[in-house]
Amino acid sequence: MSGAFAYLILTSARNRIRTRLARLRNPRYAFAMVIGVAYLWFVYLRPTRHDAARMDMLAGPVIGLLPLLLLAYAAWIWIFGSDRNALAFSPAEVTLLFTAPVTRRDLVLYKIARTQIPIVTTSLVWTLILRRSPTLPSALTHVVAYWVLLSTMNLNRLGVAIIRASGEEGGVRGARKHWLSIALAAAILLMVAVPLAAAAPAIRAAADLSARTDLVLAAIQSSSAHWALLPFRVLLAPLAAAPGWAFAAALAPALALLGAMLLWVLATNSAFEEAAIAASARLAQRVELMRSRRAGVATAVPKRTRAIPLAPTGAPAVALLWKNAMWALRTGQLRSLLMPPGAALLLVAILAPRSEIAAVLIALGCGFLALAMLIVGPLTMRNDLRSELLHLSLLKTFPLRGRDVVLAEVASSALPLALLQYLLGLVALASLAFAKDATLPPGVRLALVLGAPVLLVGLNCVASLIHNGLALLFPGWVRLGPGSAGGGIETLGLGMISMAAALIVLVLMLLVPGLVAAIIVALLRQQLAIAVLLGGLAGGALLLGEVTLGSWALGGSLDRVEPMSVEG
Amino acid sequence: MIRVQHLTRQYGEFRAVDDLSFAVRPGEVMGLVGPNGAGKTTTLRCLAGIIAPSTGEVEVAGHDIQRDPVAAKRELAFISDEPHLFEHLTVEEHLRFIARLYGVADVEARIAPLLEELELTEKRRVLSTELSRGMKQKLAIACGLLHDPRVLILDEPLTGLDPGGMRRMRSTIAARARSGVAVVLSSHLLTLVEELCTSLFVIRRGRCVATGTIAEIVSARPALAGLSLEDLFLALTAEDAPAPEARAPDTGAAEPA
Repeated sequence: MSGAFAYLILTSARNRIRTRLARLRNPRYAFAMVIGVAYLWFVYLRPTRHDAARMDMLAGPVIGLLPLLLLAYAAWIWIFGSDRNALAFSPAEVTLLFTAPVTRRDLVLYKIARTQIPIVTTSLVWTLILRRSPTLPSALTHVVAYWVLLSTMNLNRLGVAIIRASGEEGGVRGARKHWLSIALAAAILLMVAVPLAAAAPAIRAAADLSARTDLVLAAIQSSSAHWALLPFRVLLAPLAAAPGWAFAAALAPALALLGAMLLWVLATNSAFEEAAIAASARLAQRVELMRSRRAGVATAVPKRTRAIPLAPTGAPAVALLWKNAMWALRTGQLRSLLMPPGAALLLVAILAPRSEIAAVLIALGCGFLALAMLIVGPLTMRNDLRSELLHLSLLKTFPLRGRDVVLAEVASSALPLALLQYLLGLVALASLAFAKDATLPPGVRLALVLGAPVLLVGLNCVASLIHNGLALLFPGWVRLGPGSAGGGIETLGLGMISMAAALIVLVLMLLVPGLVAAIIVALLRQQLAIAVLLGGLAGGALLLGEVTLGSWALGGSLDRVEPMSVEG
Repeated sequence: MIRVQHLTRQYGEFRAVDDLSFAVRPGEVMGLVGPNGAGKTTTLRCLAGIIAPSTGEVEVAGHDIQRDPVAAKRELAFISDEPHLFEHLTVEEHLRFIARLYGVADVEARIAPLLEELELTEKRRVLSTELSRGMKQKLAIACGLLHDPRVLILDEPLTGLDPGGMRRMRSTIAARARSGVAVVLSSHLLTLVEELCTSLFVIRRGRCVATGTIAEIVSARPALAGLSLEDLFLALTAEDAPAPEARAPDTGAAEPA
């Protein structure tokens, strides 16, 4: 059976690589690959003067604390077991492998083997990004060291998931079967936790971070903690070893530990199929949600919560806006958008009355966040055409003109962002009221409160229009869903190209409204409040005019575009 | 109600649909049949305005689907074999959404009987993601029927339905046809086609190979007399079948084929 599994894994990997390579024959992907490689080189891989410092990163107290951090991670999995994806199989695997004449142990072995490709890839990436390897031999030893570390931790994750599934399926009897594993894990945890707890008062009382670190290091050097952390030290030892005999000497016990973990996982041999199917279903549902509605951002499974009423008559395109608002409401995105202004308001209430500097800083933070959301917001808030294009066949059956669809979709992502920014602006104004030197005249404050909605709606609609337009006109260049473009460096490059294009168009579209608003403010500067109000309203109106014209143009494209060209 | 003239759809060099002409009048149920890859779905997608014909014209309830798509789409419903639903809306909210799109003012009065007809009443507050495959298909059908379309375009509409659901759907289609709706039905379930369709339009490799009632088709090919519908279908769509006959652009029968 291992032959069939090996065939499946290797053939799938080979076909995936072939597809990627074949895609590079397309100039678009080849260009994107060049951009992606250039980005990686200049940002992560190019040798810099900071490299020496990075190479020393694992030296000193950090290396001493790493075993403790590894233990904390392993313990988290044992105690909370939240990572249920460890048991997830793809729908095809559930259908074909769970019904095949294979043993449970074969399935586990397959699961372990299948994770090797991502683990090796991650090891390579860590080696490159952390840049602790000045020579090829040291780079190779680091790849191997990371592989051993990640593989062992992955086996721990899988073993715990199986034991928990055994408990769920077999109750106390299922859990009792693994009493030795559970007892050993608990003993290791206690052997470290007890000395740390004993040292806790002294750690809390220590003067600075360095002193606290020293106390923690001393606590984990105690006899019991030393032995409990030994497996973690063994796992980390190859990372610190120099190439050659030292590395071989460090690697041998780490490999032995990896082998022991492998034997432990294979020996668990518990019924886990039901839990695996449930985990697989959850994973498939999440993937489906991401593919169908959100690109790049995992969302919770929607829940029935409050609803927004919808009148049966009126502008039909409002139905699309309503549908997208319902999505934002039920996936918690609206709540997430309200959290930053809520948190900022709380800070204002607590800090601003006590400190003018804090009041100014909070206002500046709100302003910065609002500004950043103009660029970043449209990338995260994608409940518009970028998601809808994946259902273009359905969209095309609706009795709606293309321009109405575009307007509704643009508004779907722009209005919540404008609301967020407006609320942040209000909080900033409230905070500035506590800073005597920085507070604005009441008239200007009123002008901002009245003029900002139009301006913010205009700005966000323009930003959203650009991203929707790019998706509609260049669907191959924009990620419509995680599955549509695939992963890889070329996808990274595609994202960077589309982002750069969006920024350029945004600047161009802001030019005229910005100029007009600036002229109005300059002409009426003697009466600043009126200048701000009229400038904001004029700029916003011009931006909305641009959005209307853009929607008309894009609407024609939407009417012409065919599902096959975007749905894949 | 539906008038198709010289409909051709090309993908690059490949001609998926080649010069099809037919008409479906009120009360008529036309069965669009053919083997896999014959061009049925492409034809239906052209009728529904999802894709544009390369050449030719499609008219729905007097509106050209290319020149006046909004008016044409307001009169039709397209129900495919794969239910496309919104995962964050409940059953009832789907219907309210569709009501707003099509301007159904009396949606409140329509929802209850429609849900009852499709056995979805108990699920009215359930999210579409929590529905079984068959229930999803029923909801897609309910969405299609809510605005009382004058034209129904059905692509394997019974997929996923249980026997009871299939029976109810058959009677729903028949009832709609009796009330004057023009129906185009594509299905590989030949018993369904035989039971419901007043005429057939048989295509192979994008071209029409036979059209009319079964009697008309057989009378044009005496060698096919006495064959069951399945054998008739296989004979008409076989690779070595006779060349396509001259087609009448209009079919008039209103009785089952």
